[in-house]
Amino acid sequence: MGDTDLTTLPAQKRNIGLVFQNYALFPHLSVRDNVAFGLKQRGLPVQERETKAKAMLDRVGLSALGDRLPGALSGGQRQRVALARALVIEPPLLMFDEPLSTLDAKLRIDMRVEIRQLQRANGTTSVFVTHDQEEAFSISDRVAIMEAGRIRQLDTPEVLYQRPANAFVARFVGLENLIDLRVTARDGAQATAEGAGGIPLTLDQTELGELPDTFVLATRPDGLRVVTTPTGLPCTLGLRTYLGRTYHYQADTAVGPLTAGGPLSKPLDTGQTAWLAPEPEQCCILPKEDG
Amino acid sequence: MTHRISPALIAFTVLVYLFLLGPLVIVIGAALSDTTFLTFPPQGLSLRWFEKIFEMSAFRRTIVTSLQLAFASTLLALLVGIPAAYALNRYRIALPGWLSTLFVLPVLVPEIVLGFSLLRSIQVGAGVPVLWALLLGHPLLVLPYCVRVISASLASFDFSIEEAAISLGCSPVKTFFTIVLPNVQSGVIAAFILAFITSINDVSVSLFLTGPGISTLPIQILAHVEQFFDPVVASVSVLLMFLTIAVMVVVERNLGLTFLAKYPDAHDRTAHPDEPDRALRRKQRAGRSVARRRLGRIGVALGCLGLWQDHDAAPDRRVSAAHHRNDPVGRH
Repeated sequence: MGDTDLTTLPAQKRNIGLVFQNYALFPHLSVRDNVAFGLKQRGLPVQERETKAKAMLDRVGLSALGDRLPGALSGGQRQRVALARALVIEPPLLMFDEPLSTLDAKLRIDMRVEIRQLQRANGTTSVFVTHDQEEAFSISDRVAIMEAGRIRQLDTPEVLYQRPANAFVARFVGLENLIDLRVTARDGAQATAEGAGGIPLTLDQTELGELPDTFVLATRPDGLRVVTTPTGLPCTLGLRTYLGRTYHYQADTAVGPLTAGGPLSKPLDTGQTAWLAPEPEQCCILPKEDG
Repeated sequence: MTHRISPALIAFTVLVYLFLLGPLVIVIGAALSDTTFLTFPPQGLSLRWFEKIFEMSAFRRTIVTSLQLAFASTLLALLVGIPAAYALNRYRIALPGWLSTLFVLPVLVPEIVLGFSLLRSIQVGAGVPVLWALLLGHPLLVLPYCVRVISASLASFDFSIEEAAISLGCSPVKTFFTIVLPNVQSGVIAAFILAFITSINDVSVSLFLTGPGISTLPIQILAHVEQFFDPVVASVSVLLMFLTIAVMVVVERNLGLTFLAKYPDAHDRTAHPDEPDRALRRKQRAGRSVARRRLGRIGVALGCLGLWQDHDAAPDRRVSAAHHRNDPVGRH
């Protein structure tokens, strides 16, 4: 961090603010003393740490509760104390370990906004670990999606959402239809690709960019339109789910089961034969992966 | 809405209380008896048997020995037990399961066997003097209680607050004293009380380990009732009971472990938020010296007990109860 290697530095000297999943407040100390704890370890004079702790409690909106013990606070209040405790030592790096996962849905969103505002105001570099995709995307400037301890893609939420780099990230951001394709013919802007079932699919390279010879076509259900005219991928429709704005169909195709969207105006029946047409602007081209 | 309490439940409750308090009432009653033999209900009321205790140097001496031994053994056991319990809980996942069972073993072994094997191995075998043998045997006897009780309160302790303290710049050792100990304080006090009582009431281990010149109160009581049937044993029991209660109160009041961690701190500060730095530090220093004074007081009390014991160098009137063994090395 900066110019120092933290790997061999003992944890108490690393100067990283930590916010824990289970708050990890000191149950025997008052809220004020919890916040002042880190300052005390740094040998600050009593008065100064008093002032700083109070200012920090003001910022998280808990100045009235300074004398209480953590046991007498609600979950959101506790997490705010934990946040104040980590922020007050003014660390160059702040780490959040799933800080909101123990809160209920409504509070989680409020706290999310609050953390974001505090972080913006302070300008502290923060690492926020979460399982919640919405939480990660809403709070972050950049998101690293990890699989088995490795970063699969690190980018802004917008890029991750629209242009995932690989199948894992694509599935994670909701591109559930992944179709393995191989280009068999190119004709100017048009390219014909074939999947496992041998059915050719014509794609427009103006929207998708130059297609590699083998690739994976990834779409969200809404990017795969169910049509009754024979264009695209033939399929047998399965279960129909009503989602308010559209219908989703489980469709059986030669390349495996896919989920596609259809308009509300023409509900189609289970067992009916139809075609799936990819919408080029809602599709992603991923490199083919082994396995 | 009123709840009708069943008469059977009332009867049961009364019986339980009788069961619990009955023996105490009988012992206290017998101790106050004016007769020269043990009897209940007491005939006549007098404190003469309490006076008698203080006339008999053997009782005086053994009371003091027992208190000192119990205190020292408990402290020794805590010194081993607190770190052991901490390690057992902190590294529970990494440690094999039988390890915590290991610390309960001294309880599983019949105390008589424990006492006998200690006698054979350390006293006869290694020639360890009586006092040291007791100071080895009693901590061993009470260690399981310490480890168990403190483990119980560590089991509900959230070790992530330890990580939190370290992340805020507190060294691991300091974290142990400022964060871990204050939070298991009740467990430590409970362990202290349990260990102290176990040690002071112990017969089986002491029976083997006591020797000429050094005996504990329960052994002295045993020796006494083998020869006499006067209410002295009852009054001694009452005295022991109240001494133990007194020790517990002193421990609860003074050894509240917080003094290790913080001094007049939170409360004083909230009361006077504008108090200048220097005044507060003076107060903290005062707090620290209060802690030191308290520890000192306990030390002085123990010392006085020792003086009281030495003051009277009367010949040992203790009747050897169960020592049909030849005197091992190192005794006169």
